[in-house]
Amino acid sequence: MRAELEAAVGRVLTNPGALALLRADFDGFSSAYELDRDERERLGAMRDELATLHRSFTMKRRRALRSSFPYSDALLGDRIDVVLGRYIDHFPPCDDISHDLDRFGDFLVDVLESWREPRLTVDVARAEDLRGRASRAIISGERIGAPEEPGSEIEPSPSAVLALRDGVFLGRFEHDMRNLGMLATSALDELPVVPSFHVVFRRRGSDNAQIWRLGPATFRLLRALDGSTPRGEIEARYDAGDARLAPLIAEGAVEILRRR
Amino acid sequence: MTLVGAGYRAELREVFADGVVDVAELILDRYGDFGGYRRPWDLQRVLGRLPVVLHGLSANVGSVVGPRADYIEVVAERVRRLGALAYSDHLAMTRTATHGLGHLAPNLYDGTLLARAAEHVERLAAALAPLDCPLVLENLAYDAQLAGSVWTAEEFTLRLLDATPSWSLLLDVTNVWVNGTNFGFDPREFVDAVPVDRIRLVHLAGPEKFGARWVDTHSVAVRDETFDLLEHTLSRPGVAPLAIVVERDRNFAGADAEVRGDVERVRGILGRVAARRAGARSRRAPPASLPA
Repeated sequence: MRAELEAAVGRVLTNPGALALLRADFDGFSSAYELDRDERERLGAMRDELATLHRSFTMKRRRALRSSFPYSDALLGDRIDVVLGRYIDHFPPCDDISHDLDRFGDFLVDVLESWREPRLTVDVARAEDLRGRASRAIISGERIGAPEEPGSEIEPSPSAVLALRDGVFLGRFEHDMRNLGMLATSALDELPVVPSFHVVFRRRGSDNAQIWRLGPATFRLLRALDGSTPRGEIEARYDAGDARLAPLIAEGAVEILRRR
Repeated sequence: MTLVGAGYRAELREVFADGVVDVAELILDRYGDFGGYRRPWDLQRVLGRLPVVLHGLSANVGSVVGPRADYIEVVAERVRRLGALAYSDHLAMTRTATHGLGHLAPNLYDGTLLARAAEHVERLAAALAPLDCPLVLENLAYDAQLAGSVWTAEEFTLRLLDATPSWSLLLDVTNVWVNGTNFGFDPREFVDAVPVDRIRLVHLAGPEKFGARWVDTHSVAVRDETFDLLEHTLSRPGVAPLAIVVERDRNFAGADAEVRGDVERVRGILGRVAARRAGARSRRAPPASLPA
């Protein structure tokens, strides 16, 4: 089947293990696909070209993933190639790059914890993961198109934007991560060592995600909320608690819908 | 009149200031809920005053599997929502039956693929027809061509143009130049073989050289050789694309000025070609009155 031949080609283009198997054990690799004799011969004939294309495909994917975790890249040095290699071998690309980045963030943190890396390394990876997720958060109210009525306000109102807001994340760290985005990659050891509770979000109209530090009581309160918590209840409970987020919630710039 | 534009990127603020470009190209796959575009408010202002062409990354026309039905629905919905002047994608394989590839891949170019690709084109064109939006597909830049192909990518493109009239070409002149330089053919031969009335859109971008190979990186200013190929293309009688779009996706420091410069060079070429055509017409025109 020609679609099976494409599946085999696609697997080799995106998966280092598949390329290695194609080279080392062609019969074993090709037997996993329903190929007729002609298709099997064609697959065998294109091995060199597939290797060339594989390098290009995986290099682009590595670059996209790596550039989204610049601090982890700096801390890990060459070892991030090991993580990337394992990840790319385990997971095919997603149709949506955002999903690939989210999944890689989870994978990176899991690997670093399994390696028993220093807490700084793990904290930085987790914070980069959350920052990335918050930056990529889709704000469903921010539909963009030509204005429906001439002269109407193009920018959506705060309430329209925030009624459906997603992408606010909570994280508990052993470092104060607030200045992460402002540090040079060579200065990560300047992050203060102090148990910290943070909320990570992108404020409406802002380019970049922000990391705010919370008091323990606020953190506990936020963790207790979920997507079904009515907005008015969130505001009421917030006003009664610690308070740095209260003004943002009151103006509708932050709504807690999801946590991690 | 040919519109001159650029691929929309939030980083290119000066390019999308008033009066610099005539049209914005949006990546259809990022457009959905705008999670992929930074500063969506800026984009919204751009959309309020510029026409749009939509450029997709996932139609998968260059495979036997073809586009997913839900993707075709998304294309039609976004074309309708934005009133796009045209929708383009790539003559590439972007996913298999089971998963996405993440990038644009060449395929085995033979009669089987040609027949299936023509069917995919007809499906996409049928979805766009009620919206009065043309289907346009881009020639690919490739690092290798698969052994066992009956035709080159360029020959396949020409055969698909011949096989169905339901699409037009997005002629990426940089891709043609990169492929020609890397694989040793004259890019003008391909450009000259495309029927003039099928060139609907044009792309330009800056490539970089890695080792012995040029790669279409979209990361630097457009090269002189690419502008020369553009001028050659536009000089063919009958070539009148809807839009010429400069692409820039990386190395944004200083990119505003470079892209503006590229846009101005495109306008200069359009002006020179128009002047040459006008001159040729005036030389051919009969005298206003016959001598007595």
